[in-house]
Amino acid sequence: MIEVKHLTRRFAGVTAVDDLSFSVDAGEVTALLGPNGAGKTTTVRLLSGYLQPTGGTVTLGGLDLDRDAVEIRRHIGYLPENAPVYPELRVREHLELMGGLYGMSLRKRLQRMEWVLGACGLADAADRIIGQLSRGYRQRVGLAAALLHDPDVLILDEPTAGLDPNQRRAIRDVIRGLAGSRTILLSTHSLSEAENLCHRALILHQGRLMALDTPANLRRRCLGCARIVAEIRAPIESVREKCAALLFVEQVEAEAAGEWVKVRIMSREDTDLRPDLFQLGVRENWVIRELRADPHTLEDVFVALTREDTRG
Amino acid sequence: MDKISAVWRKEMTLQLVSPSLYGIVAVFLAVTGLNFWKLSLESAGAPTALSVLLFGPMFFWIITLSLITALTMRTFAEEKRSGSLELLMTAPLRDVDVVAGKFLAALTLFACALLPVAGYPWILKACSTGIWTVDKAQVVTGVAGVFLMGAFYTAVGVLISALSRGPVLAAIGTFAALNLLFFMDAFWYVGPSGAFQHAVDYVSAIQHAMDFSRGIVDTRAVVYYGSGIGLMLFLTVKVVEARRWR
Repeated sequence: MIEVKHLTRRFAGVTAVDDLSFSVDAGEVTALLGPNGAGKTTTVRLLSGYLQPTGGTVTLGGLDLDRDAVEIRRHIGYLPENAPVYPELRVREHLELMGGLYGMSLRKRLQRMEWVLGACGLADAADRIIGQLSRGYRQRVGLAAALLHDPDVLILDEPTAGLDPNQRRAIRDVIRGLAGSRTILLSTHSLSEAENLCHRALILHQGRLMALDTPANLRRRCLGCARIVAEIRAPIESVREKCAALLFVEQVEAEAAGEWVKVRIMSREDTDLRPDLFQLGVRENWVIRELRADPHTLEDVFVALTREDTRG
Repeated sequence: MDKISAVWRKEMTLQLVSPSLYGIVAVFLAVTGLNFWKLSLESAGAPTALSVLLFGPMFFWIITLSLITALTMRTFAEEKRSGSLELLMTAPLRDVDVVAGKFLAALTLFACALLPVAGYPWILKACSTGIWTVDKAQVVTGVAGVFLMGAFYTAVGVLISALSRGPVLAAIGTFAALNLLFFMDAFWYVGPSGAFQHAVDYVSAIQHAMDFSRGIVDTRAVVYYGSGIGLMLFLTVKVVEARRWR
């Protein structure tokens, strides 16, 4: 559905997107993952047609983004970063005018309006002035406007940024409901969101494609190692020494906090060291007050990926 | 055409829900109306050209330039500031449609503000006891001239708004540029004679406005404003296009 080839964008001396190539199948939900400054927003803006690429091509269902610019935008629903809307207008007015810009007939607009208001949970806010709504609602208005003209492709730039957990869940529910019937590309810096919503994730780092795979595979591939954290009451030297002697341990970091020692253990393979550590504690007669697996954050994935990158 | 009218509708809606629009139009009508009233009283008994009563005072022009500034300053600059320009530029519209829709909306509002001014002479007639007739042709050419000039200045305002980062900067830039264009006469004395003075005469709006208000339709002025509008809108489209490359 979406075919990106050698997409490059330079801003006065800075290369924001560097030779990016990937494709997305119809009906697939793809996450664009990356820390701030990785080139997510620039990529999204290039795909939406807001910015012109320095090089490379984007085709969407056979249409070229540059050559068929006006036609192709009918098929794209785009939610820009921070979901800009017209705050002076009522929700309904905003949607009505946006539908007009997409060349929808009045009848079509009114028909779609009710569906969109319902799908985005805006039915109770339809006649309120957007400027007086909360951020979560405003984000939903932006999403509703992107959906109004019934696009085949949805491009969402950080749809859940700056929202509280409830609002985030509401937006995710809307997106999940759309998955399958539409091709969705969303940018985010949250790995859990990508795992939650997306079939595949695309990791960007300094404008380059680092990896494109299912979230579960990415985790496995980048993070063969597992990590556990424990707090133990014992002499720090013996903790460090005994833990390092366990099987499959790659690295041990121990630091004293009062009479407790906080220890962080990285294992080589994807093994769970918690039972081993517990038994070690029993043997050594240590008091353990905390023992948990430390889930990998997106940051770890990046560290792992960039390390791979410099190695080879 | 559908696309331009969709942009026009969007612009009109946003302008009409803004209270500041009503404020500036009310001030415009109050200033022009009071001027007309005061001049009419002063010239009672003496034969005075209608054009002098309507368009003679400098107040009329200053408030007109302010009105155009207020109508155009937000066109692009406000949307850039709030980020909603991204919505407009990813909609299935050509850049030309966006520029034309915004220009026509600002011009429509200017025309709506100007229209009541054309009615002043008839109000005067209804209030006065003497028997006289209003020279319709003179009023029509006068108002049409001001409208044509206003259209050119609106195009200048839209261009400056597209160049500015925010509406306040756009307002300052537009007001300065319009004053410069309008009071070009002042340079008549400082420059060399000959070609320079001819050029100043050609560009200076006061001379055109005075001709129009006397009922003289000078094709040179019509060509000047017509091509000026074309050039300004062309440049605006280029500025908007350039945003996609920056």
